[in-house]
Amino acid sequence: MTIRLTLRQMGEESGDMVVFSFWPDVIIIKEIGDPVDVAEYLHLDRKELSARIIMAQGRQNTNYAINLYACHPFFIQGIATMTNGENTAFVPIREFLMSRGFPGYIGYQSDSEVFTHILHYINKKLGLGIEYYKHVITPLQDEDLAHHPQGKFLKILKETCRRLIIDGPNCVIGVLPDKTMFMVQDRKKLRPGIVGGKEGVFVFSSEACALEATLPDRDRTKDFQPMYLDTVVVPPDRKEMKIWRQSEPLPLPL
Amino acid sequence: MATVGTITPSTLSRKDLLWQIVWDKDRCALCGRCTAACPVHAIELGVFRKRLVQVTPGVETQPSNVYQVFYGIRQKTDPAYACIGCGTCTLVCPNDCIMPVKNDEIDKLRFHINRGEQPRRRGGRRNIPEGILDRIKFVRISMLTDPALDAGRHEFELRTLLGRVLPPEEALRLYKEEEWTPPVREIYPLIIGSMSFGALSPNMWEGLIMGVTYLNEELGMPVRMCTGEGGCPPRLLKSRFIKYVILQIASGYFGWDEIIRAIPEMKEDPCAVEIKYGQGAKPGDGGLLMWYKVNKLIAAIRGVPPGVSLPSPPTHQTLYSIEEAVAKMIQSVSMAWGFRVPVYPKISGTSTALAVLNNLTRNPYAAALAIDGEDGGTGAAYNVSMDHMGHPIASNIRDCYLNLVKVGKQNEIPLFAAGGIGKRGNLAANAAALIMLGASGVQIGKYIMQAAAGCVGSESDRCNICNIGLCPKGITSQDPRLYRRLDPEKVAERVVDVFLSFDTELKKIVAPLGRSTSLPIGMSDAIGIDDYHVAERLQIKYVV
Repeated sequence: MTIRLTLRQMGEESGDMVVFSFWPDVIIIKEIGDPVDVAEYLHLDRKELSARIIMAQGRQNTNYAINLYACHPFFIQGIATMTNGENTAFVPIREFLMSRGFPGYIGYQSDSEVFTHILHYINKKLGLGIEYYKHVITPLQDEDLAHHPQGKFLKILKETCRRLIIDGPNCVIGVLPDKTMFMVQDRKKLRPGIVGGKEGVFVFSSEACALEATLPDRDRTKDFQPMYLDTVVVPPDRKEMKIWRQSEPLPLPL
Repeated sequence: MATVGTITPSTLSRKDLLWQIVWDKDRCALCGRCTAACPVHAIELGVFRKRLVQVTPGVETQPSNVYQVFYGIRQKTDPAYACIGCGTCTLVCPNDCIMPVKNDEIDKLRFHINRGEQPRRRGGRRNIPEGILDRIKFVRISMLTDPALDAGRHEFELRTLLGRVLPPEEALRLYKEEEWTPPVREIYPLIIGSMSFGALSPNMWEGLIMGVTYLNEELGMPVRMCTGEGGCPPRLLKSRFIKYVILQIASGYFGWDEIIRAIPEMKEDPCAVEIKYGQGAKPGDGGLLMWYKVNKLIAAIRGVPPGVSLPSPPTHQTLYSIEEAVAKMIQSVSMAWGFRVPVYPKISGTSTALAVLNNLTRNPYAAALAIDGEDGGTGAAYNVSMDHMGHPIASNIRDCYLNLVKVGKQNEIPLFAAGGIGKRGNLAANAAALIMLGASGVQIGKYIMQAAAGCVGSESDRCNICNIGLCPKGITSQDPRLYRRLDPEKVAERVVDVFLSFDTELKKIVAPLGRSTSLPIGMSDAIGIDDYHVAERLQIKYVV
């Protein structure tokens, strides 16, 4: 990471280089233009191109200036996320992350970058797994915490991580360092999101049509659209998807 | 004035007064209610002489003068009895024939209300109606890129935390090791600020606490109220409702004998303890309850003899430095409740607020910092303190928040803002602006008096006699003849009205900003102002 940051800094000084990751076995391509034009230009349909995980996001710039660093996915130490939506609580969260004293928490040309860094923070700094992600970014309300088996711990987590609570409409799709894939929704399920697949291949998509186009021969009855409490996870073995509801008990944390 | 009278320097005419009584002879029924109700005896029965020209038809008799006596209202011009503009005369007049009207120029009275070698003292607030808070606009409206939320139907989580919030790493470590962690209360971000039992009448106080209790017990809104420096009625101390109360300890320590003695019998812990170091309306000056208001009840609760003025010292005695003041006080008060109650200082807005804050960040027991800006109100203070001393709240809160951001402790020490919030009626907008500048919540005093009890005070020097216990509405009086005018049940109803409508308005502000999952503390990208320098100073958007 430090090499990436140094390269990025060098690139920013002269304006001739952008660096998205410097992680083994990871290629990140970000381009400006119509997605089809870009894909054709880069010949992304070449047969020799293959990857265990492919993340793709096309976006129309909304809140902040056009900048390659604002393009998804965002990547930090094996954690990558991309978002459909936006984060209206961006500024206070950015301030919190930037004041952690961690060199990787920089950038923030897009409000969605904090989704990646929050996950990194709870994973690397707090030692909590993906099942706690929802409890940090969109915690349960107090009445629900009162009935939760780990309510006491989650209440502490909610209070102390209050500055990481996100807001606004969003669907976050991401990857963990162990190649686990996941999808979470905002607290109100204001963005679409669907996961479907068969053993070996799973597709996480904003819209059902993308899933349909990519994997028409799957069992559609097993497609799942996560709602506001759900985290969908496909472990590295790619055998099945797991669904965690926030109201369910968690694996013991510490 | 008699034709051969004496003119002294302080001889004023009605034209020289701030408030002039306009009285309509034709409609007056001479009932005398206005003169009886006037709290400062500014009006009295007037006996006037008038001339009528009597004309009889015919040429024999010449027209002649007839002199008649008539009765009416005369306004006193002695500065000691100057009209305060409260309008109680208007309130009681059955025929709508009397009303105070403000002078069209700066009054001459102000040069003469220091007789007896006493500069003017009064209650109320800074007599300046303008403020920066009303000019802050919420400019980041969710439009199409993200949907604006439905303030009426969506779920909102608008509570705040009072208490020391630990960094996540630290909190989880202490949880794992089962160590002590600082107490944290989840409360509603609008707090009824410190107004003492003594400054307020028993009926007003009872009304407020009833309203607060109703909001908690029946509506599930964790609203809190601070006692101010005047102790707390023992029955409340020993009831389970004390958990809705923030006890205040100030430099006079009034009422703390009772409180300490009640601790063994307390069923619940209080919400928090506020240590008052300063007050926005009279920064650097101690609390003051003038002798008029120290009756037997107040004296008993405060542990003092009745009928004497109770000036609290400007600073806590025996504390010679900020380290000692903050550390010792906070720790000893925390210890009284077994470190289960958040303890935080309240200071007046000042350019030295950052120094206080920096000190608090190093004290693990400091639960929050409340800052009371220059527009705060008071029951009694010198006019000069109210009008000229103090620091505006907006930049004070912003500086403190940004400083916390710099050291990575934002919201770990929650900041509470007070002073002039809703002073022109825009309670929710002002509160939301301060929250987005970095406050975790706001405290209100004058607003709740105006909205829940009908206080007539204003920024244009109306009424403002809270200090002498003659409040025409019975809000700040200790005279049962006055405070029986105030029905505590009705005050409680209004408190509930105020909080429920505030809640709706706050949602109407945050929903279009796309916020609902948490209170938007420090969401400075959402606000803007039409003044370039203010925008620069507060680090918010400049919009025209």
